[in-house]
Amino acid sequence: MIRKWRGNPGRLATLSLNRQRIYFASPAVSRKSTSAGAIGSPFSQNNSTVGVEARFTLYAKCPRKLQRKSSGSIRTSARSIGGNHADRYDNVCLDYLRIGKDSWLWKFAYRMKSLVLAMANRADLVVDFAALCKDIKIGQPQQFVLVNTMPQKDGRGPKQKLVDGGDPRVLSLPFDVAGQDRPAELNRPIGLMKFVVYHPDDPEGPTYVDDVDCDSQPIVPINGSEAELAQLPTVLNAHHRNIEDSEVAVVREFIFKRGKGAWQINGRFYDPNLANATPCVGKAEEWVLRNGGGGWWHPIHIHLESHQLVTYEKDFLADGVIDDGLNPDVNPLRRRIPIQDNLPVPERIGLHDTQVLGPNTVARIRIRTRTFTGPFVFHCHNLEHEDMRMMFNFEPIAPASTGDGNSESCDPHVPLPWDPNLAPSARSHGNEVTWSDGVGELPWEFPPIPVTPVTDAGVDQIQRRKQQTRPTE
Amino acid sequence: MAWQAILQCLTVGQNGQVTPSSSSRSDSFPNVPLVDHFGRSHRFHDDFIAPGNAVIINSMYTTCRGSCPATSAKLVELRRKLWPVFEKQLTILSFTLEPQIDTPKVLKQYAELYGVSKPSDRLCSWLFLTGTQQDIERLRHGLIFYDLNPKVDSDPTQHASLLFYGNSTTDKWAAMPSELPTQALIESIRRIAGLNFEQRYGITPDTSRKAIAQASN
Repeated sequence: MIRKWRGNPGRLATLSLNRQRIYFASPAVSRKSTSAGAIGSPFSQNNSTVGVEARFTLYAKCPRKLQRKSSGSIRTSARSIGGNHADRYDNVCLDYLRIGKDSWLWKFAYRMKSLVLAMANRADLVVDFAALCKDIKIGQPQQFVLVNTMPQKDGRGPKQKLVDGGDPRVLSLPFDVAGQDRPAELNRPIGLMKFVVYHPDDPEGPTYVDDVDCDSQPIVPINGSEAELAQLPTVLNAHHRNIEDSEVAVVREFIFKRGKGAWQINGRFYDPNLANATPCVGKAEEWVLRNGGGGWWHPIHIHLESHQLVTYEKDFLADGVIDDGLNPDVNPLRRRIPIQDNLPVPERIGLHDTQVLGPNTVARIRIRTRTFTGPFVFHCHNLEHEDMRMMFNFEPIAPASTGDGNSESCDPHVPLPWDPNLAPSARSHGNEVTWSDGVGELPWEFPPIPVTPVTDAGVDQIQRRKQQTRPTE
Repeated sequence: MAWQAILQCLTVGQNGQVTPSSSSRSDSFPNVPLVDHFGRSHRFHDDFIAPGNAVIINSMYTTCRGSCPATSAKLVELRRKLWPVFEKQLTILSFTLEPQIDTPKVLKQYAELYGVSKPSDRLCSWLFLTGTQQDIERLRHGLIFYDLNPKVDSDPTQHASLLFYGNSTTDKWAAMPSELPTQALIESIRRIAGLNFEQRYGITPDTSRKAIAQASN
């Protein structure tokens, strides 16, 4: 479970979780060098032991035992961790800096002890091993372990959130010791990656092959509020612009729900031949991503373009309602409470490409396609759900020409040159396709869209599927 | 005495007390006794999950007015279109979710509606299976035709549109809703349940000595 990796104090390590690479930055010490390793991604995909959501914390394993060992090699230290229950280690939860999420690197750094990652979410972290290993000695490498403290058994979220945030008691046993009666990872933080840090002059330590020039700009660690963050002259602020209500041209709603033994969006299985949504390039859209119930968690991953989070609401009272799981009774979620202010700042600001939908949750996002036309997908990133057809196509189309040679403006008050419910000529929205194939879908009327702050988005932007009669021959 | 010892080992293995180190997905399929619509007795794992045999499995019940008729109609089409690919190597298995109502006799009548009343030499084999309630439940859970929500789980219409397919030789298994376009289903069934290169990809690999020599260069 724990991948071995050799680091070196005196330099910063930037961990790019879920991108499956590690790279080093800003070594201000004598040996400028870089080293790359790879972590497997047991936590980036869905399997039954590590699920939708994971919380990562970096722990130090103070090497008391190692100091008594004659040899400080990795092999010895790894065995001593895994082999003996009696040898307890002091486990200390460490600070690290977070400098980005999903699609964006911030110029500031957010100091934190743990972070929550849904599948497909990424976090860019900076760990200062030089500060952590000030008293390191030759021949006595120090170890750090990145652990997941929120394991889960099925797609309905972590059942038991393990206490972290500096509490060393949750790691009373070495991480990688298998339990006797049940898998250890089900009730204990999972060690994902181990760092062994050597003194720079340690002959056992790693050798570096590349010299790399690093950005010398300082990283500013802060613990500020969102308002304070907004004042910082950051990369984020320079290029980032919130999509205002008046810019939204189309509102669409997508309900993610289990159905017919598989997984559906808006009551429909994925069909690669359909264009389920056709945004116009350059126009902003608001998408209501809605959890259809059943207690499942759905990390919704949207390809092609990053999006902004507008609101994040949850109906807590609905959690107590037993979901009968039968269409068309999607829970109306009338008592939604906005909880985006309770999210950590990194979950709110900037650009994202994955929103995790917990039970009875509605996320309202805004997205503006800028670049490519053609079909792209968005899907639940729980891979079992994705494979079982919880995926939709959206197909950005080029803005129509106004006839005078200029392409159509993005002013939402100009009548739309395209029908947001109409697919490009090569594709269709699917009703007639499904019917001509001989198998009709069950009739299902969507419940009304949750109240939107967008007033001028037009009416009936979402194609309503009504029961259709088979066309007569 | 030797064969008795072997039999004993097998029995222990099927009870799950001895788990082989290299277990395959199909090992978890229960070996329940079932009766097909011709009245013949079968053991599910022994007879259908045999090496060299690909299967498409779905659940149904004859009184279903929801998705079962559509699924069965889809299987009629798949049965015809997959015959040139698989011939006798593919078996379609439809097991009933209401075994107390769907006796072999009832299933025979249902099968006649879809032209499965007698074996055909131009269509893939298709069997409708029933058994005791307990065995059907075991089969359903072994094949993951169930829902974690007990209310949904008790509603048979929720399980009736899924096709589960694969073979134990390659031990690849997958499930797709039967409502998908036939072409998408055929493509996926060939890729997953195909026993050889030709069945999976629709082209014959060039195994001539010249081609192998070129590939190795």
